[in-house]
Amino acid sequence: MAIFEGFATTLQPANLGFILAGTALGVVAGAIPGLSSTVGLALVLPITFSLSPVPALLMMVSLYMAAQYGGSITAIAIGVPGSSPALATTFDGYPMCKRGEAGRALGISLFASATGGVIGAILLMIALVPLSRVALAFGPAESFALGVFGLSIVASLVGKSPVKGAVSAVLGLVFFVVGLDVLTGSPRLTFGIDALMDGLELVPMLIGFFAIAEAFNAIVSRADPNPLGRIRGRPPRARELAGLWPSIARGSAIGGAIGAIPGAGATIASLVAWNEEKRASSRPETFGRGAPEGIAAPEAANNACVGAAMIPLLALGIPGSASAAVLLGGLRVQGISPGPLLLDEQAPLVYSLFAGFLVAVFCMLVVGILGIPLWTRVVGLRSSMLMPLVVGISLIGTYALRGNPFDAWVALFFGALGFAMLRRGYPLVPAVLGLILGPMVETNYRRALTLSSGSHTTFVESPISLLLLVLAAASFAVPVLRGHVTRWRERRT
Amino acid sequence: MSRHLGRWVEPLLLVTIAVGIFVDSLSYPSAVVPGAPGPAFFPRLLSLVLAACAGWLAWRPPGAAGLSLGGSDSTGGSIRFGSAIVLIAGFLLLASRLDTYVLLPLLVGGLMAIMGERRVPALAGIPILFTLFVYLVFVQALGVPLPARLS
Repeated sequence: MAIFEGFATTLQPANLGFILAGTALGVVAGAIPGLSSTVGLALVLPITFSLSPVPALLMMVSLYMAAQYGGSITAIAIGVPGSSPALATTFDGYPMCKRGEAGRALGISLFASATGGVIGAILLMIALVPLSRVALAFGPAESFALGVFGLSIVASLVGKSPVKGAVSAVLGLVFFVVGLDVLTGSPRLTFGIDALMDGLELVPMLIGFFAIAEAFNAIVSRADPNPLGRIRGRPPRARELAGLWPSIARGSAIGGAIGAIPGAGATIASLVAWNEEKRASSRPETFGRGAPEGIAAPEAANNACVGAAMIPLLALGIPGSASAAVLLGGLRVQGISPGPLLLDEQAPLVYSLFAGFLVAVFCMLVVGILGIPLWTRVVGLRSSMLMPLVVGISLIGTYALRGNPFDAWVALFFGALGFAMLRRGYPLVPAVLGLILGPMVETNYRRALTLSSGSHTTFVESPISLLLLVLAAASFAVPVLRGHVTRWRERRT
Repeated sequence: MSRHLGRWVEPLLLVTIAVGIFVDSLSYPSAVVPGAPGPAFFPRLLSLVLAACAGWLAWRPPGAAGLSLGGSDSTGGSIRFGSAIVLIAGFLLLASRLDTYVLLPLLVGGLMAIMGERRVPALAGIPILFTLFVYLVFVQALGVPLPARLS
């Protein structure tokens, strides 16, 4: 069976080494406030280009997975989430730490993260094939509608203002337009600059937006994490972990469902899981005061999101989160385009990825248990030491991708732009998605109209296209209308 | 800048970008296939959507503008940001003319100093160790030639 071949590939010593390296980097990236799985992925992106596709992808996936757990280390130890998906873990993790039970809390987090990771991987294996088969039947009209739907749902869900999300998405589409038109070859928005003729590369944009912008943020705020003390307290007993199964199962189910929706993401999933766990509990008053279930459910949810977020990415080519967008960048660097044909064209890679998820979970358990004394030292690094290194790696890494200094300038431009956008409340993910989905949206729009001799009814004649466009419109209209209704009610009262 | 004026800055900037895109699209060739949109259609559509969003933001500015540079720290933050940009731009300008292995420690050390690092051993040691790391990983392990006059 193909999955066994996938395991055979994944378990080769070199690939195992890359999974272990990705896991260790992921735990560190997740644990250090200011970094995250996205920054970690953006930083290893230039390193993966010299690897073959399987180890490159295994390293990135294990980093993504481990970073979700890593975020809980600082969430539990100092009450500051290392990355945003660990926010819900602070509610009960930090009170447990203050009671001297940090070891127990970290053990619960690790076990729940590993279980959630396995369930997310199983969801990916189950859902990928049928969704890919459905997407194979898409023509230009449906593909255009799918691109618009992906953009609109991410723009409306990420950030606080749907309009600012839309601006971000449109800017991303504008960045896609830069370069030669794919159908006619005429230059667009190049302003006579030769280096822009090939268009803007995705990877410098990703590194600029997610690594350099984050470094600028730290440079401006000059915030340092609280020093981490020694982690005390015994680890949880097997019986206690077994008793947390219902919480972990609920959290994983919520994470799997929310993670598969583009734009929803691990942070929302973990907060919903914590809230639902509290509602389901017979002792809701213990939540927020150190309830073990309050750690297990959100941690299972944010790790289940990892596998679930890969479903739209691999089946449709739509990354549902910032980390998935960087993973897509990693695939593009390897010359692989995710989408409905991926399973047919790259079956060994996909099955290695399935196996890699499960092996990465095992490695996360090992690294998580053995590494606790080390993480406490690494996490205590000052921003003033860390962030200059992030900038240095970003610039050198961007240059190294093609040996082109212009790419480093592009990364700096996007770093400054991303920083400014974040400061003004514009989410970055829709802009990245605009650059990624631009070809899908514009090319299929023009192809559909060419096939229909310029008639726009082609987009509503297909039921799938119509449904996707209605959903896209609703994803914008609902939050805007809800805001209006809320303001109207407030004025009336 | 007054709050009232600040409200118009973002919409005006977005409208300027939209107009720039529209004007640039006027020079694109027309459609090859009759009835189908040409290369100018999509950029023009984007410029219209951007202008509409700008109009919406001017009419109904969202309550929270996101993070600000932060109260009393705002001037210091702006100076640090500006210094970092100048330092990085200087590095990129000079890297192809001078030597990456000389400039990289200066870049990292400079950024550390901007971020408030004052310990001399850290300011001296970390940039050198980092440059060594870059040399080992990118040049030796990955085989990427960095701009280096001396090597």
